[in-house]
Amino acid sequence: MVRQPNSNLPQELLEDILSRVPYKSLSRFKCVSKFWYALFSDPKFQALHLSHFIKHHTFDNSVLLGLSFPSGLNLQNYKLFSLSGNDSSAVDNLLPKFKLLSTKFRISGHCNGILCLAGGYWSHNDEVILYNPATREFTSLPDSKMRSNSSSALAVGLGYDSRTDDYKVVRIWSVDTGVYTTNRVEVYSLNTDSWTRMYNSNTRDFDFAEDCFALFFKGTYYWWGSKRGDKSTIILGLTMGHEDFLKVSVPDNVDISKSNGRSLAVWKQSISLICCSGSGLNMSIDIWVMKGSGVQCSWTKMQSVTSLLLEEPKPLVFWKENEILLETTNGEIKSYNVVTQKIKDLKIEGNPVLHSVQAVNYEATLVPIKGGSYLT
Amino acid sequence: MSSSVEAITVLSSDGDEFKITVSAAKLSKPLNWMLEDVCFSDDCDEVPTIEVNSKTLVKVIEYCEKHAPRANSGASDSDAEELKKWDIEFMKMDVKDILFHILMAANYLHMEGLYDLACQTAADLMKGMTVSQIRKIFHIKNDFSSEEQEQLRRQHPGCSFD
Repeated sequence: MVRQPNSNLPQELLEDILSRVPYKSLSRFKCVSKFWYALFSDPKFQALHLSHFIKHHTFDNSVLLGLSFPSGLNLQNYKLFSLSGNDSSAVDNLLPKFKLLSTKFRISGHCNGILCLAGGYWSHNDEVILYNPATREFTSLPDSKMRSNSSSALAVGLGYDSRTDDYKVVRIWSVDTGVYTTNRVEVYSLNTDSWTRMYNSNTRDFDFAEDCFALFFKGTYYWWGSKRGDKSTIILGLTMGHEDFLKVSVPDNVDISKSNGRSLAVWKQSISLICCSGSGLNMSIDIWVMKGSGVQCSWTKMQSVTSLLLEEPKPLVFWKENEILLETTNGEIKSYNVVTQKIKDLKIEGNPVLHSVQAVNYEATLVPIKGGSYLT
Repeated sequence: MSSSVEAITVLSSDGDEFKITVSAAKLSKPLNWMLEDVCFSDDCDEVPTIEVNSKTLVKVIEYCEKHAPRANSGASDSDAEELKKWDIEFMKMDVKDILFHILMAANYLHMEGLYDLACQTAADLMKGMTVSQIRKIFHIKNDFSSEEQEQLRRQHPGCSFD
């Protein structure tokens, strides 16, 4: 590689520092010199940048919000907003223009700065797109062999396999065999650009609902499911490289059956469960933290908030260390700090459609999407 | 090496003498090897030289002495929290003047903790800088021709060369 002249710092050390500088700054610094420009597109440097990012990043300083807006006759227009750590009122529009997803899509998963966007259950459109909003690179996943008149895609989730440096999308289908309804699971690998059916996924005891994917954290996908027998809600863990779902019990005496009242989120490097119940004076938000993983995990109740006087808030994610984002029934987004117990309104212009908010902890990365093209 | 020795004397690259406790010296692999190889008892004349200037060595030793108790015995969460705060205060220094020297010293002395801390501090300082501030710190000339700048501006609207 070309040596950089006139620098008082050895090149190896300079590259090590730069690999810890956030993407946003790097994208400005590419104009520093030809050498820096070339360095930032060097795959070796990008891999180093990603490894530091995964190791040190808390991922909670900014959030991407997915919101629907009314446009014309019942048509909904979907937009992405970024919410940064320093300013909680300004939101930027990051609208991607995909033809096939232009009417309605959802953030169906995200990992290392890559978003997984899908048509969503009701759109009868099973197109899935991986998209890096920072680099504007995207790829559309190939069609699945599972698509048929008797099957419907319930949800997809995106994860990263560090052993093979691969991004994998897991999708659950509900299939009506004519005699009974069953689940089928398939996995997409970005490296091979193909879907593979997962045969031993052990899902016959569980029901999945649409958008059952909750989050990907430290090599495990988390899905919401329910037991076929008593319909009680459970969390199912699918660990990268293992072909079966592990049942993760939920805290005792917690009603998480109402899907708008609970969220799995990452808090202080652990999985947390945020449950909202009641409304007005009886409203409470309980926060639980998962210790351990898989079948050995246990839940510890961290906090119970009762003084907010909100009508049936919907918990979204943790961000800025100790703040929970909440969506209220009248379509407002609020940020509640669990330490200072202060609540703030977040301003979003354009009157988003109620109950449409999605939020993910997001940070821009250089992560390339193999075989992808760039939005113009 | 005599087990009764609790501190050793080293020379900086400027020739100044510094004392460093044995437990603090253990944070650095090369210093640790030196402890085994070099005679440090009073009747020895040889004083090893560390290729780090005095100004930097003072700071490196300060870091070692602060971190030695925890590194050697482990510590509670509250100590770790306290140490983290100390690190932040410790790292409040000029980038070019001293931080880069500490980074190079930590690299030379194989001190992983200090190296990571200095790298991250430098990265945090750099992230808010403008392109011209970066060029000044690293003595870099803008080697894009005006045609290339024009082309980059078209490809990446909003990019700035200043």
